[in-house]
Amino acid sequence: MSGVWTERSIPMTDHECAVEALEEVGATILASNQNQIRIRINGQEWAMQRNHGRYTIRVNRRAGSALNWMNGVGPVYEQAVQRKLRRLRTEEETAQLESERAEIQAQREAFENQRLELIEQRKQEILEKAKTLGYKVKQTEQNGQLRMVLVRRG
Amino acid sequence: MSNILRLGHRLDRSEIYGPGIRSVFWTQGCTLACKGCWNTQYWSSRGGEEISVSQILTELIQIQDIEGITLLGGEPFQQLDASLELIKGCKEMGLSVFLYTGYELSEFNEKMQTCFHLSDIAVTGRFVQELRDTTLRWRGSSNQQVHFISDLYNQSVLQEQTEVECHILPNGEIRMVGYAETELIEILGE
Repeated sequence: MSGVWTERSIPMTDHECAVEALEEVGATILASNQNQIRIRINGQEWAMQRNHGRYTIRVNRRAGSALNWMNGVGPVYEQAVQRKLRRLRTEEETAQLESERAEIQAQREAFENQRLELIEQRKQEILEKAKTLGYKVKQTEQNGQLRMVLVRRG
Repeated sequence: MSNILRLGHRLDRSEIYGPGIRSVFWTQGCTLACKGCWNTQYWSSRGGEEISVSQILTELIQIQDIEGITLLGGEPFQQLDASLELIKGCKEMGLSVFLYTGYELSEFNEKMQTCFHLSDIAVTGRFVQELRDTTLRWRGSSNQQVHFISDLYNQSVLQEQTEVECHILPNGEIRMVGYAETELIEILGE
């Protein structure tokens, strides 16, 4: 029998979009900076730390259903990302000054690169772990999705 | 009218659930409740999402380069009419079918037998925790049987090995399937 493992929420790399998404699912932001977002939701407080380019919550397994609110964060975070991307593109197009346009372009590229860096970092994490465990890895990229097949014989 | 299939999960393309690249469907709902089951999230018959078999077949046409489908679960035989329609539809499209069921051959009713005989490969039998062996290809415990039903495949495709597949989505999310050990699954840790 094989297993299926998915993440509770998509990785949040951008601080502004993460805050927007958390507020949209009903969280109150207690404190927030680039390294940490502290929230209260459903009467409980949680701290999200920025680790390896994304915001994560460290909890013990008994948290169980108390973390169900996280299931709803992914889709709204994705919407916030698309909104921000559209806004930056529009601002870039309508900027009057060349210097202003260059600054917004740099902002947009940095924003898009966060995800690319995260993907690369997660790929390396899998490759390193696979190597340690004795797997051979075959990689295929299709429609922006990376498929890594790990095979170990003997 | 097309039957409705309740799915817990699906992958458009996978390389570890049978020969070649295959679309994989995890049906939702299983009452067999094997001890140590890794997919308990697919036990409830209320979870997942409903989709008509005709819709699945339409979507399969759009997926280029697949050799076939793999149907697992959950328990495909607990949605027998929909599973049969899906298997028949795939065969008509020229796709091969790899079927997983927790039932033994001796437990099959007539419709289960039809599903089985229309498939190209099937793995049968409960998952038995005491016989768990992740070095086996396509099965989780050594009691489970691989059947080569049609002439399309034979024993030569069954090279025993441990297989895990990781998908990194454009948003950075990782999905992992297969026979992973804890150290690998920890990569997904929150």
